[in-house]
Amino acid sequence: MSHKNKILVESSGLCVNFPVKKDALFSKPKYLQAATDVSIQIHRGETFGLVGESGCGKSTFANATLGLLKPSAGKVLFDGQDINELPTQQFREMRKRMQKIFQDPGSSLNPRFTVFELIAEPLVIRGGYTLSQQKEMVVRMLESVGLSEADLYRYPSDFSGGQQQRIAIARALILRPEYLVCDEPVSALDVSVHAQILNLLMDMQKKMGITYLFISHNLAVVKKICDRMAIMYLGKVVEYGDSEKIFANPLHPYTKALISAVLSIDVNSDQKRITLKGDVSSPINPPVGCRFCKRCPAARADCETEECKLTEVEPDHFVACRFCC
Amino acid sequence: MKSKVENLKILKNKSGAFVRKIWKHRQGRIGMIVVLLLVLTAVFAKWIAPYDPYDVTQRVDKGLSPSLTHLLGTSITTGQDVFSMLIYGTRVSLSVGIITGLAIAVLGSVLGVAAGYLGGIVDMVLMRIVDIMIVIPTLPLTIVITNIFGHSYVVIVLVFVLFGWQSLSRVVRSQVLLLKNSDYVKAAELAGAGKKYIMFRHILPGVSHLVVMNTALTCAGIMIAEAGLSFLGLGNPTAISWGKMLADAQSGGSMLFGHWWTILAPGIGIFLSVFAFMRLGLAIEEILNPKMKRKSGAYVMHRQLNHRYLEEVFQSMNDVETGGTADE
Repeated sequence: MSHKNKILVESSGLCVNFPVKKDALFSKPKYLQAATDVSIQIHRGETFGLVGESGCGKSTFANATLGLLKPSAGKVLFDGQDINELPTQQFREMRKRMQKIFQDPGSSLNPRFTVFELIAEPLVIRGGYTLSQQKEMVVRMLESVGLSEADLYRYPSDFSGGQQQRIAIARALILRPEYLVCDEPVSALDVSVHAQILNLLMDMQKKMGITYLFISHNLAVVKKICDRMAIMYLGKVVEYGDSEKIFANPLHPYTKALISAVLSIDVNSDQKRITLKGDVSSPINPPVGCRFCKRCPAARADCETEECKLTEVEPDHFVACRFCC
Repeated sequence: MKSKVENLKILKNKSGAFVRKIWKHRQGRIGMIVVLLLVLTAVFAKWIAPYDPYDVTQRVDKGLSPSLTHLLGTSITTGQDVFSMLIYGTRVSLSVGIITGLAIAVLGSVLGVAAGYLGGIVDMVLMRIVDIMIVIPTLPLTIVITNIFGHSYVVIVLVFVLFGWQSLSRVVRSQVLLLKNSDYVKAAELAGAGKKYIMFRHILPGVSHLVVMNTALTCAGIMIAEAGLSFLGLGNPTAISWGKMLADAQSGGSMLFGHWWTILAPGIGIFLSVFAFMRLGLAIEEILNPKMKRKSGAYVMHRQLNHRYLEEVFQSMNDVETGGTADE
């Protein structure tokens, strides 16, 4: 496999800004910088974790890689092609290869559709399948996610959250995508079904060789299932690379604080929790220098004025902090 | 081509299932039966009514009391058979209600979906029009317009449609805005769906319960409005409608002569039709709105109104109890 072929999704310098309502009619337009200068490479067949607190731009980035959002700057390459420059027809073809699982299965399934209609919808939209073919594919998919043919004509409201998420997974996988965004797929579910859904996702990956972009704020989950990961703070990637290396040797102060917050089973461990002070700065008017400078325990004066670029400290381990590189 | 036939088949099955669902719903069944009876009465008025109230030669003595030949007596002003008038009156009231209701449903939902889904300048223009029209007092304007353009059936329907679509389009628009940003529309987009597909498969079914319910309720409202207009003498003067019967009874002094049946009969007609459409509307809303499934409308409304209040009451009772024991 050549190097170029190894990368499925690549973003370079990706920025997504949302216009904010103006205060006055002629005031300067303001933008909420949801993601700034995000450059990430996602390799084929891996599970890529994206971690960060709420509102740090994880989902924005994911939606931009799916073409749901237009980037304000930068590029998103899917299999080497810029998805925002493809003609509509070709882009639709490409869409077939990417799918998304939403956080809340209840809202991502149309309550008026039966399970069959829901799972078969991508097939119907694509066209070219007869009803019996659709049914056969849907039943096979349903069985592989652990539901049965008997559920075919029931409505999503008849199922529990975990089962709904299974339906959503079946629906996302029926077109056999190569790239699947899992936007906090378990955070809306009971803790007892987390493992079931995660195991199901991992099984499907093994069977179909899908690349996952796994968004989560549960570090324990990320540690368990992700091969590579990125940590975002206020729209920027602060640390990025091989997840084992990051967990073994977290370098950015924010990553350190995050990892120290994960509860450990070992009661006697004298690991100290790093508590961050203050609030996340506003993404409408972010700090000029390092975005984390206001809350960083190790911040110095020049942090506020000078930005630090992502630098490779060891193979496949990048950090954006001047003291670590 | 084949898929179209298949779609039609599915649609047919679905509408059959829908009617069955209304039938299973207690309130819906009542509404459906009464509406059906009214429609049959309107269609077969010629055969049901013992006399033809439009036929001048069949008029008899004025102001007769009820008897076997004239079940509800005869009218005081013209000597028409009141029972036959009642049956013929169904035609005008029901057709004005249903035609106007359907026209409002189409106009309101199309404009609402357009405003919500297309957004931008379309949304702004339409919503400003709605804003302006919604504050115009309808009845005086209706009186003026019918005076200018005549009291014909068509004018009355048009006027009702013209002033009836705004609230529906507004409700539809807000629901469309909600649906447009919902996850399942995004999921459909991700599956490669185009705008047309999303509009017809996700957005329109998503607002259908609003439209159908609203139609049933506007039908009821329009029937009352039509009766009111006729009562004021502003309806079609040549047509026999329930409102006009009331107006005639009033001007002829039914109350003075103690002819209460000439007032009660059209009143019951109006009440029955409005009641039936209301029941039907509520039943349809419950069936189409998945969140209200298997609960009666009255129960849900009651719960929604009282739930929070009761919760607060219980909470405060709890607080008092625990607070009291803590003090002791």
